Amino acid sequence: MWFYIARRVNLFVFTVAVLFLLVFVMLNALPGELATNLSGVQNPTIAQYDAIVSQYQLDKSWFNQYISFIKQRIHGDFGVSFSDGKPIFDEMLRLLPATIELCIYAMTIALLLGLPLGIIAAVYYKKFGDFFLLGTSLIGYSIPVFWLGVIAIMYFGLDLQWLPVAGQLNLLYQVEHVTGFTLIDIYLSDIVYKQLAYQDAIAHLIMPTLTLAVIPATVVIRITRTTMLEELNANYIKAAQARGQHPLSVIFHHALPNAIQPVLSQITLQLSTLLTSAMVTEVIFSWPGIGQWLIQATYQQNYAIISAGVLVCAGFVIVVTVISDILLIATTPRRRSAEYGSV
Amino acid sequence: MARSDSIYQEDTIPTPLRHIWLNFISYPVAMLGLWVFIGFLVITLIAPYIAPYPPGLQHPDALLFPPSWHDDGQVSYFLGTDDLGRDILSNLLHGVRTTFGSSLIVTIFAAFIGILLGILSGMSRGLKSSILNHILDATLAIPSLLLAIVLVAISGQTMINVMIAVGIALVPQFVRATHTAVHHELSREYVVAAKLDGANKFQIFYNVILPNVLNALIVQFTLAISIAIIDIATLGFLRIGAPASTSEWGTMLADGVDLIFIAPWNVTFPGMAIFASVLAVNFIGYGLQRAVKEGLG
Repeated sequence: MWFYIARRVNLFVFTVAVLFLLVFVMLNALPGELATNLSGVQNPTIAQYDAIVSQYQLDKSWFNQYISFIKQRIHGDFGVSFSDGKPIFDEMLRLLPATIELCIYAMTIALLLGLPLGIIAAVYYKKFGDFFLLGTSLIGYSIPVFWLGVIAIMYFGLDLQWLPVAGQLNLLYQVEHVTGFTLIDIYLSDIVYKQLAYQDAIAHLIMPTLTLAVIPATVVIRITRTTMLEELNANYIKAAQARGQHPLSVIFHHALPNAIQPVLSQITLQLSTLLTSAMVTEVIFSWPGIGQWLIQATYQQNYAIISAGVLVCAGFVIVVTVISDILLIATTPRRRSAEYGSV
Repeated sequence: MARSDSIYQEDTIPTPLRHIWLNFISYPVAMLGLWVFIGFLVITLIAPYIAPYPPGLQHPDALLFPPSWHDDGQVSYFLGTDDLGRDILSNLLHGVRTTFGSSLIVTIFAAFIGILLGILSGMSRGLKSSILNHILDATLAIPSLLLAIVLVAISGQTMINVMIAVGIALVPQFVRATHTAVHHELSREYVVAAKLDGANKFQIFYNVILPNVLNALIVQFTLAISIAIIDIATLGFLRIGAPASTSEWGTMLADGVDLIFIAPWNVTFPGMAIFASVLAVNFIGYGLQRAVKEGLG
């Protein structure tokens, strides 16, 4: 067990080092001067320039530069933004919770919808229910996120005027930024109309989360269906059925526990796709998260922010993958075999 | 299908690939996808000859015309016009080239490079294979859109650069799929048997492994086409993809968003075009997946 965890952590360190190398190469390739791209200070004075050179060891070999680049970033120094000179790290800490909040809710909805529907599709294999669910999931998977978001705004926001179309919370509610998660912030704040603020926050959440949840939900349906089908055809299921167990008991007590683990491990692979669609969703719904900030940075050619965004997003994906891997290894002895460990 | 009927009445037993094809054409949904795909392919080739107007041609006297079935619409602008008087149908037809056609080209190149790297890493063992794997893990962790944004930022915003960026973002997925499939095959008994017969690495790959991984690669290829279409359109929608003057579906949709209240058809039709092409490709991919599973199972 510990051997595999050590191995995973080892892989993690190596992968992160490769990621840093990729971003470092990228910073070298981006237009503009390396010192500016690394530190984010535009038009530095001579004193500032010398400070940057010694900070990032720009007068030494590229390997020294790479090592000191990693050192700076690990200590939380991501440089400053090109446009306003604020430290990028603080800005990221402020924006990241909004994105994570959106992703967590979307993922929860995707699981709550996808798991039961996937099980239903597997149980009614090759019957109407299966075809219907599979067809729906294929259609849902093919809808571009940005089109779905715009259509939702057009219909629910403008035509019916049911839901607000942009932002996190109506400006009437002055909620202090503590954790960055709107719902928790409202709970922690001491405003008078808490109930109304909750309603408003949830109304703002509905459209972005549902838009973002569609693609993961369809993926969950299809993965659940496949793994459930495999389990339902296994011999121990036939044995359970032969012993006269109730069909529901067979599904929930025997097949599901075995089927759910591959589903969870597959879902972590979807994380980078989820982040991509989260970025687009944030732009459409003016959600003040890291994705919108990054896209804005692209318009302004703010390379310091872009490189920091790549590092953080990819780092986030790697960390979650490793954690879920370790959790899976801890709970499923079968995954400790060489086949899984060697990837 | 063909195998289960009765093999004794057939003169020859169909090859595995033919099996898959026979299975594939028995799914109506998959065939629908294939026909739509072929339709788009034909439009890609002949778009300039069937489109009523050249791309980007502005009609100053026909601003924001609704589609022709609307009371105020005109048949000469079949799907209506946008705020600069550009005919939406013509732009959509030319957009088949920029969005659908270029995503096909991108996928072909990405598949070529990715599969080659995947084979090299899949066939090798030990240090070489694991170094390549870590580089892949790191690239796969970067969201593909972000990678494409960075590459466009480095190289400048032209259609060719967008295509290259989307292609580079696709390559790791091909490498991973190929690597997994090839690596899985290497531990099979028939590969060991071929090795014992004295086959060299190339012979093992070409004669033993390739026929068995080909179907997985085809499925991955269709998946990659749909990802490429969505990526190119998304980049266009965020206005960091195709340059503003090209008629690209995502860019058209982004232009339409500003007019969503007065002219919703500017958003609906480009979106439907993207949706239809991606759905067709996904139907084909689904049909292939099922055909592979049932053909060999």
